[in-house]
Amino acid sequence: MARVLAVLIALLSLTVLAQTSTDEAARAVGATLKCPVCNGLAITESPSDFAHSMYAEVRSQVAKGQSADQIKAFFVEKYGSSVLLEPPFSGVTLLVWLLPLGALALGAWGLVGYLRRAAQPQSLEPVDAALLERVRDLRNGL
Amino acid sequence: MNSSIRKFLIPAVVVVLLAGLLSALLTPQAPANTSTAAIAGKPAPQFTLATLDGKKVSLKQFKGQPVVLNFFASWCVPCKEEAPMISQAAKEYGNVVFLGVAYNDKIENTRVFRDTYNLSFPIAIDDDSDAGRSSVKYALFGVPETFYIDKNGVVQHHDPGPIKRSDLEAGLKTIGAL
Repeated sequence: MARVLAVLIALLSLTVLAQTSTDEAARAVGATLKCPVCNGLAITESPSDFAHSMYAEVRSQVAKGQSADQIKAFFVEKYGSSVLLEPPFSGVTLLVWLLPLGALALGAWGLVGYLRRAAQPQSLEPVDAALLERVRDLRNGL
Repeated sequence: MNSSIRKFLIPAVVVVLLAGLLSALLTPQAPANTSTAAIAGKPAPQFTLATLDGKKVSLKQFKGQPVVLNFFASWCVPCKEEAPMISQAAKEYGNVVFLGVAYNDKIENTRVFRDTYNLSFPIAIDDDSDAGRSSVKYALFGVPETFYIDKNGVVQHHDPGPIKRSDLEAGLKTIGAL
């Protein structure tokens, strides 16, 4: 009797552990997928019924052993790449990633150039003697 | 760096960056409901759901016939607006299978909806089972949405949103039913 009980407890523990890991994996994948009818919310955070159905699909696919990439590919095929919370590093989105970096690099280049020019000593050009004399006279109130 | 090169290079780089940004912004994007582009031309996702009559309905049982698959809900106002037209069309086009799928709805409300609009075709109730979950398989963004599936089981057209008679007829043409 005790052995049967022990086996049952062990089986139950294994089931709970498996469920927990499935839930964790599903949540991790779900956190990268955008609810299509919400404003930038992950399906794990959205109260929408569509998001709940999508999460149920994620959980089901995780339980079937699908990888995160396979599950994401499934949703991208259905909804397009806009379903991903983090846009892919390709196509037009590549430009969106790179433009701020380009702008930053350009700004840094401009700043470095300006600082270099500012650090250079000012060239002393000869001053017209008559002008110098007039400045002196003005200072002395003449 | 030569000052004349610098004089032209910086504006040139700025122009290139702005042109890139402008081009990205002006490039026609996929419509808000991208599932139109995603599903058209692909085999219709299969599902098996319970109907209001307590039977099971599978999409595959209609292979060989053109199918109009309409997702709706009794709480959805645009669904109520298109329902009389769909009801009438289903009676007129006997060569086409009309199949309704109620999304996120109470069975009793769906039944009232069916009776109110005299829907004579099978009405399935979407559920979250692996065989069901048709809202995800068809990447719904809302209800109503209508899919036109040809006799080979390929989605040929998709109307996201409420449809008029002219939309339905355009959809029927794509599946060779008109």
